[in-house]
Amino acid sequence: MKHLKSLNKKAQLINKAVSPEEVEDVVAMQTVVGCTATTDPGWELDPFGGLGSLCQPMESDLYGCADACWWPAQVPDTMHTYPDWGKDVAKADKDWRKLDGIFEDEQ
Amino acid sequence: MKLTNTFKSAGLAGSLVMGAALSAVAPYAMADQEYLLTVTRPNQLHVIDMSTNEIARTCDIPGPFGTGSIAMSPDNTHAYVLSNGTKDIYGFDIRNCDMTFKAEQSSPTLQVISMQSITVSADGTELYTVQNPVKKHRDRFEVMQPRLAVFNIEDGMNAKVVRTFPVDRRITKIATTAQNEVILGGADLKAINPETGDIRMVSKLANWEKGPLWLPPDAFAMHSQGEQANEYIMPYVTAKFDSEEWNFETAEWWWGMSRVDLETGEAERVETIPFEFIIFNFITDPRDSNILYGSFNTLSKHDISKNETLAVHELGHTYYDLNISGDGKTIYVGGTSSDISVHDSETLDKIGSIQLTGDMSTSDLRVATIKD
Repeated sequence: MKHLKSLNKKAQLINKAVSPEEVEDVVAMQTVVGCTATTDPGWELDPFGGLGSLCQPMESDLYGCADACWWPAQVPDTMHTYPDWGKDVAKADKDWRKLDGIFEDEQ
Repeated sequence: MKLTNTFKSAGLAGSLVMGAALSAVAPYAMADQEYLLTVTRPNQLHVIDMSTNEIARTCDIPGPFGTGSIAMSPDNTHAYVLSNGTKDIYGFDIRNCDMTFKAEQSSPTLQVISMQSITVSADGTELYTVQNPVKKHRDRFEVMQPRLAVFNIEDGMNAKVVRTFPVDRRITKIATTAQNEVILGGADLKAINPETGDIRMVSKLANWEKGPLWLPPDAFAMHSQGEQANEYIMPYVTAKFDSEEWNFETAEWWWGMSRVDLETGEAERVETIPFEFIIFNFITDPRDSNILYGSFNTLSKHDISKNETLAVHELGHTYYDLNISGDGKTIYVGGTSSDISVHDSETLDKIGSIQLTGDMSTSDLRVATIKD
């Protein structure tokens, strides 16, 4: 690191934060704000260790996870990055086949 | 999703009604009429006559879908909606779909998002939202202090912020009390005076002091459909451990709620029923504040004075939120897909379905009662 010189403000901030004491604590989200991981029911396992309390069917939950940027790793984030992902698909349970995956190298 | 013939017929009828609604300018609403409001993809505000459960009119909202968050004016004639990825706010006269208000919050160098938060002052003159601004520098984003932003509603189609006050992060659903405090649903429940910016604690959640045997609550402030009981209501989950070994397997798990009476500003926070299934939102029966209904994969009815679940009805698919008629007899369950499920509040039996033109996603399901 001593041979590297920070050129912009972001890099200078990283240099300032190399000491663990200078890094702000990370706290769990207690209420939901966009683009964050939450402890509410997800797509893998429900709070009871089963599948019955997941959203049923998953198509009913697609836009709920995308529009509020709820699960940005599982579905495209339509709030910020992929606003057109659901274009021309008003009903996900009818037209889910038109909702394609996102591939970064095609952007 | 499997559809019964009845369901399909209802869908066809709903489509015909929708077609008629879209092709004609509907007359002004009748007096003392309840309307159910929700937003669907691609971006329409639907006004549903609750006396017939048919769509009275559909208003096109500019821009791409937001999250469907809706706030009503005190006289219930106007609805304010977050649109365009929750960056913009639009207001409509729900009696004729006239657009009466527009506030574009972002600029090329400043992205401003309102996460669900939108409410109108008690006198109907101001609109409040919690802005989450991010400054776009050439080489980085700078996350700025969230703030309560105040708009004058009479500024109409070119509304600009008239004052701001700093608030906590993580604030989502907000509501206005009769004293014109704004309830802020965040890590704790707080209230802000929108004239002075003074903030008071209403009900502690993340910082509650129930002792080491209680798990800090996990609250959910995506919706608060409390207009029929004139309240702000927010569910949470917690657990009471039997020892300081904190064994999750043997702990008592509870649903709880924070509830604020919007007439008095007084709050209660209480564990309600055992945590046996998922509920996204509670509503209170307007006839009895001890009776709650909840929705998710089930519609459920609870008596919180006895910590009992009275009835559970399996739903055809997941629904995020719900609301109730003013007489307390009919429950409307919505959110997620493109149908609102209608139920008898006594038996929870399904008694109808309202078909919409697109998915509701995370949209609110609001009741607007227009009086003469």
